[in-house]
Amino acid sequence: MRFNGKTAESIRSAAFYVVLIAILFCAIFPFLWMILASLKNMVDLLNMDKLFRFKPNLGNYADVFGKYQFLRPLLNSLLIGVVSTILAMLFGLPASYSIAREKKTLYASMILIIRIIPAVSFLVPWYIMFTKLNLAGTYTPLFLSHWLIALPLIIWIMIPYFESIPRELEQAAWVDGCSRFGTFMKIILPISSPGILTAGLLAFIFSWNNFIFALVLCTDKTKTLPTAIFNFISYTEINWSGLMAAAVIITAPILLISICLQKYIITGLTAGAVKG
Amino acid sequence: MLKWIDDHLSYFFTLPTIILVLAMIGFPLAYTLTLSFYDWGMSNITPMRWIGLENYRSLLFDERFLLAVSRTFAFTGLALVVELVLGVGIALFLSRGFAGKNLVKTLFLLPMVATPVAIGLIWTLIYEPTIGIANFILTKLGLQPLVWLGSQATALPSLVVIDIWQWTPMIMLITLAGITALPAEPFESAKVDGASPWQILWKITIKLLRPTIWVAVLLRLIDVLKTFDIIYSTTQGGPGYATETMNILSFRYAFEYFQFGKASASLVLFFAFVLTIAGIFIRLKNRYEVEY
Amino acid sequence: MRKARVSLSGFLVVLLLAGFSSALAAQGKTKLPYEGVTINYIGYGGLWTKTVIDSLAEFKAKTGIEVKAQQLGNDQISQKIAISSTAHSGDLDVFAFRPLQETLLFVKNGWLEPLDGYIAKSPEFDYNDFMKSARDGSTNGGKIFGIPMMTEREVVFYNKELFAKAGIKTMPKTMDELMAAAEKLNDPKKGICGIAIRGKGSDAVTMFSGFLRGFGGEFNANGKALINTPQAIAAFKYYGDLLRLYGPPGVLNMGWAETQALFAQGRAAMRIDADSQFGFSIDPKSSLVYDKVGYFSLPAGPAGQAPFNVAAWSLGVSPYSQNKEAAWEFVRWCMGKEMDARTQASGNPSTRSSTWKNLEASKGFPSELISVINETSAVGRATDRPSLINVGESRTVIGDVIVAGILGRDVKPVADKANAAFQTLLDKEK
Repeated sequence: MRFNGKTAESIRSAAFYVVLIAILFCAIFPFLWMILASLKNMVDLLNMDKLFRFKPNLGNYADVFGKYQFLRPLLNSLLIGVVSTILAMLFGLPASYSIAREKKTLYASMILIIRIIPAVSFLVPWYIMFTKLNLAGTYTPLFLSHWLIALPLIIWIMIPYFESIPRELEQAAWVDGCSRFGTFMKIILPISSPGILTAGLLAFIFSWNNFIFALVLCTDKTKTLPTAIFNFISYTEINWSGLMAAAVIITAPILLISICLQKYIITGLTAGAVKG
Repeated sequence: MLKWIDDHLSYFFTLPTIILVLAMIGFPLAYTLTLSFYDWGMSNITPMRWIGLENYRSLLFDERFLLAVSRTFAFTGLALVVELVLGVGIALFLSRGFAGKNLVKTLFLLPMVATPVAIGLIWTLIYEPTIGIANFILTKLGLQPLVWLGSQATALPSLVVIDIWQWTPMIMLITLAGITALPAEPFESAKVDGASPWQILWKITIKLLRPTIWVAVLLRLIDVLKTFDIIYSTTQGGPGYATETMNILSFRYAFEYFQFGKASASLVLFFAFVLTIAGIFIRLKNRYEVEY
Repeated sequence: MRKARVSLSGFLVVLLLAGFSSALAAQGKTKLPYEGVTINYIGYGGLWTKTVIDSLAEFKAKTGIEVKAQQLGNDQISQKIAISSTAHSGDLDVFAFRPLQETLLFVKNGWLEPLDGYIAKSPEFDYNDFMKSARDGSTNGGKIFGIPMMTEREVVFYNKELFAKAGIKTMPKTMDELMAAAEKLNDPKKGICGIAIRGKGSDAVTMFSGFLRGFGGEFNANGKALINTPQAIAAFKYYGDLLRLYGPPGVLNMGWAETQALFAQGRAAMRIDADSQFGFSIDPKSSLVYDKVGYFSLPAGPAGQAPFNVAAWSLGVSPYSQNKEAAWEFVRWCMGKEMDARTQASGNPSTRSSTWKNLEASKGFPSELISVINETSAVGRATDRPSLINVGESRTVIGDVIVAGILGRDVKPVADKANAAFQTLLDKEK
């Protein structure tokens, strides 16, 4: 039996979608499982017959905010993410502009070194440093340590972006008598806003996700979400559905941002690898 | 004055960053390096004792450390190879235009942006031997259930699976972006020459994509070597030492045994190790790109 | 959950009242002795901490001291103490530590403030009311470095329903009977294991102590490592067999919290761990088997019964605290007779003799458990782990042998190797 061209094409197309859906399912299944488990009570979670048929309830979420007090860490994570991202922009945008324009490869390799240093080696020296500066227990150690996470990302993303801006643009401005600083502020930054948005989003996400710095540098007052959820497993009874509700609360903001602004985030995560 | 500043603007643009970075990493690096030559249990009473290279010697002759090194290698190698093959494969698979491509890309994005500690917990529940979905699926397929993270044989591979799940999308998305940026001419002339689709794939697509894939792999390489969150939030190095990588071992020396000198030496070795591997990798990449 | 909400709102009311009264007091005349002082406390998450946190408003109303309390996991507490002390930071005033694990290390490192002076000034604190074995654990070189907070004994929790179903009427008295019962109760098809005990190497060491000594072994004595003696090998084999054959899947990754979860979910017929955790199992909010929990003493090995009976946690003051007087004030209050009775009533096994005589305070304990506690106290050993400075690393080393036993490997060569490593650790401290 022979197919005509059209049938073969539609079979191929159907096969494509079947495979595609299978791959996609693998990618998002753990999230679905997390949400499902977060809506179950303990009895349903333990019963494999009630895998999909159960009465959903939001009690676990109430527990996470009530009994386990996740509101404060949520606000802390937000604050630390925003402040460290803004700080890293303040330092990182001018720096990456200079690097892009003057090919300071030395600085670029310094940025690579920051990525390579094992985070564990920072913990004790930083604590000593911040204690000596009378800053232990405040937000400053967290702002600064998360700044160090955000900075290389911003530089890494912004260098190729600035490089792609034609030099004629700023030269024309200089001819018009605009200062270098003015050119940077009034011409370069505005046309770079998509790149800045990309870099900012990624910096925020990586700050939000960071675990190890806050594990040591935070106090009860400045605790971030990843630390809060880790504490949660290490000192109470293991309450799986509560844990999953907490996991939903941690991941939901990031996932929502990513869904809404996927274009920028994909550009950021793939930055530097693709020239052109 | 203002004019002078403006003329030397590039210093004002870079120096503050350099200074703050050095302030943040200079002291920790010097501190760690110095302590690696001392015997010190974090005591405030018993002073540190200079022991030269003894920490390094004892580590390099310690089976536990060497096993952690090889485990770091195994974890990284396994994760990278699978992520590379799957990532490039899926990217090629998706390279044709189809309805909903953006939605698909968005969904692939989710694993890599989600918080690693939360991911560790989600997978711990998936792998739970009696109430986890992983064994539910295995038994439905008529297979023997596994203990996943709870057995020394399967713990490390189970963690590799988590890393693959989380980071294959990165290789995939980078490759996909690379494919979009490919020039059209080579393909057209190959078709004119009558090349088979297979030949086009190997001789042109993959060849042109190589520089992009190199960078993607380099980025992953550094991060996989340093994996901490996922291991610490699931097994903390166990069962036994089955998932104890260099990073986890250094952490335990420092914060479980308070052997700070030894932990520092272990961290210095770890740093040198990652630096060397990244260096070799960049060297290879450059040599390859020159030939190309 | 409902109960938690009630206690939370109750707490808020107390807080408000305290706020009003302190505002009034400030307006009026009586100034509190430590008005405006804040101290930081970190401790484990347990009934003790919960009860004390719930009562902090009272403490503030009385002294003016505000206590910022933080609950963390065991390892994290040690990490915080270590880092904070190393930095000579004043950000930690009072903390809970594990005397058997950490007294030697912390004293050697200068991380604990001697309390003798403060105790001498507070006769009503009645330090000698604390049980002697508990006091000894937090004392070093004749100085007192901590106040014992909680005693713990190694006991067996069991699920009455599963026992009835299996037709077991008499509780196992010997290790052989324990193995037989575990075999009978084990039902992997239904996802129920015969017995759950910690299997995560270093975590398991304390539970293993009762088995080791029951078989006539010991961790170390007189500076010699003893974990490859024939008695120790027999114990490693028994512990390993028990968990390999009738333990839960994935036992190698389990600490107390994981076995606790299994038992509370009705997936373990027996569980061996510290009695101080009984509260979780009989709490309807966290346990599905809350009305089916029974207890019996750790069965006897060839060398008799040897469960531990230890003071698991002590309260210490940081030498770098900026408010040591206020810190002691807190210790004196929460470890004083009145609060001690209250924490015991909430289910925290006390270290004060007088509290145990107080019938009102022991009401929270199931009577069945009290008789097991009394039985265990009579034969209990005062330590549950090796005694040396570097307990942490020695637990890892001993944990290796426990893991080998659970995996069914030949224990002897592993024990020989671990014994040599353990001996090296001991020699380093000579």
